[in-house]
Parts: sequence; C-alpha cells; structure tokens
Amino acid sequence: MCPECKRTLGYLITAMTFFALAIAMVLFYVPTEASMGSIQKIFYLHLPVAIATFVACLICFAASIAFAVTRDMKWDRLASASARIAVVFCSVVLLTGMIWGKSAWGQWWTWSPRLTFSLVLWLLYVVYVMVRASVESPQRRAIIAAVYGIIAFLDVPLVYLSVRLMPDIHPVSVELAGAMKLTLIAWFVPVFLLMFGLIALRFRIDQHTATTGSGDQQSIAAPMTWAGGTL
Amino acid sequence: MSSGGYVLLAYVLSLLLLWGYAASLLLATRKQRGGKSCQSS
Amino acid sequence: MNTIATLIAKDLRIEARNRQTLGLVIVLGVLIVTVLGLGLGTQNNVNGFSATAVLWVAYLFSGVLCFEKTMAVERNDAVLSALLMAPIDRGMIYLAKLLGNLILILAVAAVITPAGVLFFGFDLSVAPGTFAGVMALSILGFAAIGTLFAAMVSSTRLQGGLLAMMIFPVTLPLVLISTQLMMRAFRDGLPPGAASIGVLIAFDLIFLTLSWLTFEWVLEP
Repeated sequence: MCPECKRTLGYLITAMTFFALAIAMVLFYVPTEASMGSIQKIFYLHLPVAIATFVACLICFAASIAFAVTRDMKWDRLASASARIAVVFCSVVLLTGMIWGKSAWGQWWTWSPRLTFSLVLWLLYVVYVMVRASVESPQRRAIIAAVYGIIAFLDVPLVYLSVRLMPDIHPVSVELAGAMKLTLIAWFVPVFLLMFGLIALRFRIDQHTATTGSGDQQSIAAPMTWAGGTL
Repeated sequence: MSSGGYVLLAYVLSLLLLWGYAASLLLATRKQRGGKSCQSS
Repeated sequence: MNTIATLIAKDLRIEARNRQTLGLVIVLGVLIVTVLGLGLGTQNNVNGFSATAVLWVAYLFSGVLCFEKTMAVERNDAVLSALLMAPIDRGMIYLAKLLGNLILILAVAAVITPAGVLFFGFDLSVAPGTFAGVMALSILGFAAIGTLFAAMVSSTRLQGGLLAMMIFPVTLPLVLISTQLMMRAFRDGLPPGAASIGVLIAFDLIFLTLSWLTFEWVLEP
C-alpha cells in the first residue's frame, strides 16, 4: 500500500480509537448530571462538534482572504474543503441540538438563540457550497466564493449578537465536575482529529482533480501523476 | 422515548453522519486512483 | 461625486424610459403583502411583530428582484464592458449601483408599507420614528449586500434564485433585530435598545465597506 494511503488509514484509525475511548467514557465513566438527567450527556458530543464547526468556518475565512490576496488556487481548495466540512459538522450540531431539545423540552424545534444561530450558520455555509456549484469558470468561482466566504464569516458574530436578543426560554448553564471535564476533553480530541483529517482528505481530492486536468475520475492519467509523486 | 434513548439516538446518528461522510471521501479517493490500490512510486 | 451622479442618472433614465423594474418590483411586493395579509391578517392578533415580518418578506423578495434587474441592465448592450474600460474607480460603480438600488427600494417601500399597515390595521403612530429609522438602517444593509451579490451572480445560470439564497442568511441579523425592535416599540412601548441599534449600524458599516472594497473583484464584463 502506498505511503499516502497508509498515512490516511493510520490517521483515521487513530481517530476512531479516540472516538471509541470517548464513547466508553460517556457510557461507563462520567456520572449523570444532577439537574438535567442523562440527556445532558449529549453535551460531550455537541460542544466539541460545535467548536470544530466554528474552527472550520474560521479556516474557510482565512483561506478566502488568502485567495483574494494571492490568487493561488490552493487557498480556494482549502476554503472549499473547510466549508464542506463545516456544513457536515454543523449538521451534527443541529441534529444533537434538536434531539436534546426534544428530550428535554418536548419540541423538535424552538427558535431559541442557540438553535437559530446553528441554523443560520448551517445555511450560510450550505449556500457557500451551492454558490460554488453554480459558477462554471474556476477562476471566477474562486473569487466569488472567496468574497462570499469573507462576508459569511463576518456575518457570524452579527448573527450571534442578534439572536441573543431573542427570548431564551431554555437557558443552559452547566457546572462541570472533574470527571465531566475529562470526558469533554476526551471528546475534543477525536472530533478535532476527524475535522482536520477530513479537510485534508477533501483538499487532496480536489487537488487531484485539478492537477489531472479533468473531472473524469476514471482518467488514465491518474496513476501516472501519482507515480510521478505529485504529493 | 426515554432520555437515554434520545442520547443513544443523538450519538448514533451523529457518528453515522460524520463517519459516513468520511467513508464517502475515502470512496472518492479510491475512484480517483482508478479503483486500483495505490501504486508505489 | 460627479461620476456617481452621472452613473445613477444613467440608470434612472433607463428605468424611467421603460419603467420595467419599478413596476415589477412594486407589484410583487403588493402581491406578497396581500397574500400574507389574507393568511395572517384575518386572525385578530396583529401586532408590530407580524406586520414587520410580513413587510420584511415583501421587501426581501422585491429587493432580490430589484437587485437582479438593476445588475442585468449592465449586461444588455455590453454596457458593463464599456463601463469597465472607462477610467472610473470600481468603487464608484458600486456606490452608484447601491444608490440606484436604494432609490428603487425606497420607492417600493413607499408603496408596500402603507399597504401592509392598511391590511394589518397596524398603528404606526405609536412609534413612527422608530419604525422609519429601523427600517431605513435595515434596508441600507440589505441593499449594500444585495448590490454586491447581484454583481456576483449576474453571470451565473441560476441568477435570481441563487441571489435570494445568498442574501437571506447573510441579512438575517437585520430581519431579526428589526422585528425585535418593532416588538419592543409597538407591543411593549419601549424605546429601542442601544445595543440593537448598535448592531444594525455595525452591520451597515461592515458590509458597506466590504462590498465597496470587493466589488471590483466580482465584476465581470
């Protein structure tokens, strides 16, 4: 097996191991929180994924600026990859938030600040992906996406501030005991490993498509380029 | 559904989503390499 | 300054000649207000909130149509190419487009708002200044973003639909804040909070500046 595939596999297996460890901690180690009951355990997944989403959006922002300034396509690829990963991770944030809400307060959806913010964030980056899909020319697509990427991220704090004006029926403040803090940290590791790994993987896929010159994934040129050691 | 059930639902769906996406990316990588295993350089 | 005036005059003259955009946009706005008014207005729980929300829906959709059309004008007869070849600072083109859009949107607002007020039996006299001020700030931010995005999508296949998809999430803070402020003013009788107005102003400043700076990157002949 080639070194690159070995690396990717090794990386993902490591991430999986950490996930397994973190799951075990949630199941067997961490105590149930007193006031909210066992539903609070969603928190250990929800928070790290939410932060990871934000980091992915930040990467997209930085890459968008980098592209706008340098016009080097690799930044465009990074922006694209991180935005897609942000959408996937934000979907998890929405999902866990909704399930938590359903269990704790009986409704799948409320216009609470947190859920509304997650939804808007999700929409912002889904639109990013759709904008990219609508522009044919790679150069034009890149600059349009970059401008949108910058605007979308700068919008995030404004959305955050404006949702805080909405009535928050379900404020959630959590006091974390030691075992809980440990479990939370245990979840940050695999989530962030996966986030960076997926961005890198997506980046390589787009880079490969770009350097082989065609979108044809059965292209004969592919093994040749690989053998030539483009990585 | 008990709250334990909801916790399980949340974790299972989330991990399926995350690793399902990872799997789709891995599949795309394999397709790019023409469906064969990588050649050594 | 002169440049902007010339550019706007050009756009307004074109508009005055065929009155196409303004007519379309006003009719769309009134239709939206009518349809929503039929659906919602018949319930007797009208307050500042639902009226503002309806007006916003009308502004958003009319606005999107308006931005799309004012940008499309440049596509006809290769006007844009000519414009780009002239020694005009791109930022000026943005400002001219923005002001043109603002004039049109305000014209639309002038028609739709009374319609909405009428259909919803909404009493503006409680806080007319708040209403006018908040809506003005919000529409400014909306137009700032919309003008930029319209330039971005004018060369794509999807155009209008894509434009709406891009504008709505980004301008959501405006909608959220203005509806909250209306609730405060009309339901609770309170003056607008400084923080909320601050966020509106911040939105306008940030995106006006950003759009003005990046406009030339997205213009395509």
